[in-house]
Amino acid sequence: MSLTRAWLALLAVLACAAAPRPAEYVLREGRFAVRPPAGWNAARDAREDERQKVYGVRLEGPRSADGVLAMISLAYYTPGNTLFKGGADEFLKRNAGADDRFVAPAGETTSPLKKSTLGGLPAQSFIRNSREYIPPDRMDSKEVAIVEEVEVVRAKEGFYVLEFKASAEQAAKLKRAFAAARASVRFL
Amino acid sequence: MGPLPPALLALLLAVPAAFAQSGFDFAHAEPQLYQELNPYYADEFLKHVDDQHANALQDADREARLVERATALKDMEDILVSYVGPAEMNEAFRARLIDDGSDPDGPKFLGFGAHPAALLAWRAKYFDYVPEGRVQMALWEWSTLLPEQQAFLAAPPRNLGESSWEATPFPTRLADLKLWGKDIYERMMKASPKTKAELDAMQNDRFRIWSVMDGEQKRLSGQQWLKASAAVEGLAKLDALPKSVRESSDPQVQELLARARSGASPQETLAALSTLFDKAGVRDDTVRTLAPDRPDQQVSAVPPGVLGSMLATGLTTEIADVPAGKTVADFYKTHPLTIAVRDIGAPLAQFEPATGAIVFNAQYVTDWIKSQGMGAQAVIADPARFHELVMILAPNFVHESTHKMQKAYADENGIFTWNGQHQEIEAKESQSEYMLEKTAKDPSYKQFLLREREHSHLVQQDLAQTASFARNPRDFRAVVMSDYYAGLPSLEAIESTTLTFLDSSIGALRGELKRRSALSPAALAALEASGKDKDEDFKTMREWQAYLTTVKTPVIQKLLADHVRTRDKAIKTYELTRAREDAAHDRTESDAAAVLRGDAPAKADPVPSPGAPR
Repeated sequence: MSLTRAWLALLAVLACAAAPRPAEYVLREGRFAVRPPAGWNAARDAREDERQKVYGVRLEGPRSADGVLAMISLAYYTPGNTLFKGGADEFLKRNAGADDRFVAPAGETTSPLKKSTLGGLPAQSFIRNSREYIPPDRMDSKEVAIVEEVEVVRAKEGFYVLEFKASAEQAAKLKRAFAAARASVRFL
Repeated sequence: MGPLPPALLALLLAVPAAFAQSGFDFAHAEPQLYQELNPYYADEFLKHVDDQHANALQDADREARLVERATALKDMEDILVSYVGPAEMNEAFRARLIDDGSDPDGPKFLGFGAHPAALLAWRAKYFDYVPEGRVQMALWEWSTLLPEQQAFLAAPPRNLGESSWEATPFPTRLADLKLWGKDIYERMMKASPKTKAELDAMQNDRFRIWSVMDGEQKRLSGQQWLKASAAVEGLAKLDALPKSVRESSDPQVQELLARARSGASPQETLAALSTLFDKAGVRDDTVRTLAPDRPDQQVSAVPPGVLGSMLATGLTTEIADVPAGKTVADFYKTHPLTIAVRDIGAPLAQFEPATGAIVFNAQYVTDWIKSQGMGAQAVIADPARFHELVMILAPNFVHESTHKMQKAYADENGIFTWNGQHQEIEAKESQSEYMLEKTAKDPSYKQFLLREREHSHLVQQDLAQTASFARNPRDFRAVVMSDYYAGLPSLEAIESTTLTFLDSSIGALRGELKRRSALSPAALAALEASGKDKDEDFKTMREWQAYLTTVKTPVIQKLLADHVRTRDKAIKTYELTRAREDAAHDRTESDAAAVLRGDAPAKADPVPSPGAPR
């Protein structure tokens, strides 16, 4: 190796070391591990997880100028979870299906389900464009366009959900960070 | 190659350490949280609930102080990492960096308010990937100020320069800069632009003082700018009016034209334009909406109390046929309901704990009346139209009534009502559950929503929130906490802060009793004979502590007993509130899931519309 290449290799190592790289987040209950994007914060409410029988982590990123916190969440929904007794099918129906008994918000769209692979397992994914009104229930609240990417993996028992949510203004900028976190998902 | 390996080592060491194997007992935690202000350690500390319990068994007060410190560090970390805009970061600092360091015995904060430079150093140590310039702007560092701001601060009586400004606490910086922006703000709010250039000048003033305005000033100046824009755009249309209007001999038209061109405020200009356009058959929705209300469209056109009373009857009837609404309607069978409609600023509705009233925003109701092209009296005399007003207000009524129920539960159980995210999560879930159940059950309500979603800002908000809740209550909760009510503390943070304040006072009282135990019998007797008989309010802990040395011992004993009782009440408040919230979430999530699955396709009971024959 020439001297120049050795320097370049060392500089590459230095560049990687300069940006703090958070440790891989391993769910205390096992089930999965994920590496948060640099600078993002891992948060969870273990007590609430226990109440819902859903165990997961929220990776919190930058907040947009409109007040929307970018978020990646990964959660394991046990077969006995209190939110979706019908498992992944009910989750997908409520999230990606249309139900004409109810009134959808104006301007909200959900893409068709797509096959994908997450953490080496087959998954189903979709993208939703929705809106938040911030601050809520006020005459001066601002309509903020939101982009969500949702991916569902069926486990032997229960299912996993990976979600990315950000304001439309920020979503494109954060896509690489999300892709890296997504690629780091390991099911244990 | 010489210096590089050590540099590489230093950089690697700068990567946040993992604390998974580190201890979280007092010996480990206190140096990390008090001296190092280590946010990474604080994150891990808060996750290790078992270790916190173990600490609490040893010394509950000491542990409560650690939790409070760790929460504050995590909060500050969130702000640094999450807020990409300096203005938003600055607003977050205004709410938190309130300690200017003048009270050494006051509650212990992180010290960044008194020493902004310490916050910059903290960023450099732990978050060097967060741009320094962003934090400097948010802290109003000298180099980020406008030249005119620097000149204002440098002039007498302040005579400040870069180094003296660096030593200036954040609250003082805020006060000084607000003073600089005051005249510009007042001039801007009184301006009445008539041309694009004048409008641009107004906007320029707004940008100049943007970084020093508070949230309310930003909101009000935004509203004023919106009205000024509509006025300028409306004035530009005058030349395009038919010649018959522009050169009309009708004195009223000429007077309206003159008033529009010379209006002393955007509101005056808009009022003249609105009437003029109506006369000329020109449709301009922006001018019409932003023009001042006609007297007969205002809520005050209805006799006081009549509208509130009609809404009380209408709303409780409207919501009672679905579970989420019935819970509220049943509550009002044993608790009084007062509804008022008056000016409350920007919120659509609010529960007033002091009076127990649910208050709706008079401007919102007036705008709705205007949108119907009717007067207020005509709306309340028309049952079908009034029912539409009831339907549009019902979800917010359920929301605010949930807050009233939270307060009633606290009062009936002798605990505090703590305002925090937990209350809003419950209220938002109840509001959304109501909309889901009502839409599934009542076809006329569904049709109403389909119609209104195209142009009602409130219905759009309600539908978006309800859809989010229906998709996944877990995500909805996260949105409520992170986006809707990010500024509110969690129930856990309130408990921790309350206990820290109480412990600080209890410590002062016990300290005084200890001091007295060492006094000579003669000195103690003199104090008991001439001491003061009651407590007083003081601004700082130090002043209060000094005062305590001058009161009779029974006063201190009573204060101590009161504080200990309050502490017990705080602990009971947390336990009961948490249990109540859990039960409410279980019920709401389960009821909503049943409706969404179609388990309970309840048929609507034949509830007549308010005002309709029964």
